[in-house]
Amino acid sequence: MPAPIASRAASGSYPPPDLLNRTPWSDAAAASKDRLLNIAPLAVCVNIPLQSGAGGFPAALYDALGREIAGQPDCHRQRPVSQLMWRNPFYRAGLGDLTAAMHKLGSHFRLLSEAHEYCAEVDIFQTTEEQVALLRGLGFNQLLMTFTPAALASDLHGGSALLAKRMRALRDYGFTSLGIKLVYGFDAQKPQQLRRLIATIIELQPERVYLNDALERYHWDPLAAACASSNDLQDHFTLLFDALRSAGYRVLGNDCFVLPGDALAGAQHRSRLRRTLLNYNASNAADLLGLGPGAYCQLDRLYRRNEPDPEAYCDKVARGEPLAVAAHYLDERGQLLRLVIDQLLCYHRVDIGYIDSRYKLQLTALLKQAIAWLAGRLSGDPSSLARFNEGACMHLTAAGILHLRAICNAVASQGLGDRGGL
Amino acid sequence: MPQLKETVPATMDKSSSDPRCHHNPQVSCGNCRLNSICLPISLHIDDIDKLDDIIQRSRPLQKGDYLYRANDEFVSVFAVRSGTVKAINITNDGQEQVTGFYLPGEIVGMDGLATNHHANSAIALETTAVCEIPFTRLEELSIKIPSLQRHFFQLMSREITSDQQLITLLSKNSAEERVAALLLSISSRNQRRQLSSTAFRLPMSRADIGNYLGLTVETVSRVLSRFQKQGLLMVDKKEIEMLQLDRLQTLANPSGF
Repeated sequence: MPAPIASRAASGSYPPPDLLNRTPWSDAAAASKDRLLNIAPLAVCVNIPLQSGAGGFPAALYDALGREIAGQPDCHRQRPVSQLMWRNPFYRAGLGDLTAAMHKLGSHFRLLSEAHEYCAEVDIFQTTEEQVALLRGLGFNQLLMTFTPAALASDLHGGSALLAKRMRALRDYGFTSLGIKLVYGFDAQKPQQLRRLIATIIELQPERVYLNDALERYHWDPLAAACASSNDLQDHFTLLFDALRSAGYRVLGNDCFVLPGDALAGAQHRSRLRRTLLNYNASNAADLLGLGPGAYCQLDRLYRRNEPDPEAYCDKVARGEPLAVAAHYLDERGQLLRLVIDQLLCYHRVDIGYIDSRYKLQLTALLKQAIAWLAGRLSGDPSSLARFNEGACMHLTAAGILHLRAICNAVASQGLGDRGGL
Repeated sequence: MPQLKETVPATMDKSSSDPRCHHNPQVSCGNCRLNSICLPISLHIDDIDKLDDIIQRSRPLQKGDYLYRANDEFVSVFAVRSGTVKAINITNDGQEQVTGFYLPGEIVGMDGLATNHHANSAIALETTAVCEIPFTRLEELSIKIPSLQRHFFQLMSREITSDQQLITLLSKNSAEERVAALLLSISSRNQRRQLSSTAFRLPMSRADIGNYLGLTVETVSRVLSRFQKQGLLMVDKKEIEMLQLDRLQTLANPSGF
């Protein structure tokens, strides 16, 4: 537990109590208003979900989205939006729909004209030049390219030359960061085919490559449902991981790869990398506001998910009902675990000395326990996953980074399961 | 929001603010031949009269007349009914830079939306008739008629898109690609107006084309001659006949989109 304020003040590290007790506010209302003022950068994700088949996608989705945007409380609207992700902006929507929605967002939120990371996620083979130009004109400076499961399972349909041309055009339009979302784990993807695919992607030199396993991303697609076994999934992941690392990409977490010149790599190098449920950012956004069907929020301790079914989402918006279908509130222990896991994901190390002294913890025992437990399951030596600089730091090894997700799960389960650990 | 001060453009005298068309007093949105591409496209037939009520029709502009000037207060947007308007910007060193051409059925003046003052000036390239649409009244009407608002956002998106495409065109593309892109743009806009997409008269001078595309007049003329030699088109002063649309499209679109 932190030391009482009085004893800290006596040590000279804090102002004296009389100064601390003097209120800078003229009245209670002013104090209350200022306490509610939060101008920390905010990440916003607008989620337009892809759907299978023709039905089940309401024409009024963009109207409902506009109403959800307009209904957000002031505490979010006053915060500068330093990161924006708009998923599938043209899915069953026209240029005017996006312009109107962006106008709505800009009317209700503090969008930034510079020093921002505004990214649209699009299927690049289904995107027109007009759409690209509009995205750029609306302020998007990053693009995350996705491909259909069919294209991924057939080596991009031999469209690598077209993709190269389009990437050149995207750079001409001034997008500063191009990313590729590479979904792996389809049963149809054989190692030889995956090797060709990743070689093609590396040759194109996108600034970012995100690896996603098929069931997470396209669970509704029959092709994704024909997914590889879990052993094959791990083999596919390892193949892609090794190829990207060998090609000089830096890894964030273990599924986001960035070129050394990318802003995220720079942020990692300067210890300025932040992470939300959405992804990593270099603009200091630690909270995420999700809008649209199925969008996730991470606001301080609160995790919440919007109604995922687009029709039900529209109905709830129309009736003014709460949109959340699931919510979780982190307790103090959960917050500390998140801090540890964020450090692992962003920097592949945990500054044990700093966390122990700041939060009065004994973290070494917990981390060693988690690493030993996982090493036992992998039939390996704990030192092959992480190295401990006693009382100061834990560094992940290359194998540790490859198994980072499992390490995070182990830390979380050990930390939550054995309450003595924290 | 900008306040409506004047219902006629600065260059038009007030005596000409009769809401009926000066050329043809019978013209209204309901019977305008451009209503299938202009603002009424988004409206139910019963709503067209509501739009018509807010529109001001004035005496035509003559060649060289200003529709509005840069820094004028943004009060209205304008639908070009006949003729052609060019938008120009004066650069820091005092040079005129053409930023767009507006053909019949197209809306000009949205450059004032962001700051409530026009960023550009708009000049008639030939005798030009416009319908003036006061923006505050358009906004009021849009609340009552959502489809009108939706259409207006489509127009805005088109404006944003063409600005970005122009920036990219000027920064990266060759002279041939730029000229081909402009010709194809005019061709497709003519097609929307149900005019010939392959044979048309260029409403702007070679100098304006060069200025718009960042090329000299000589280069524009040379490129057009080269296209003619290659059998892509026929040129006779301002008259253009496009002979190989496909090849021009390939030429204008090296990005593969």
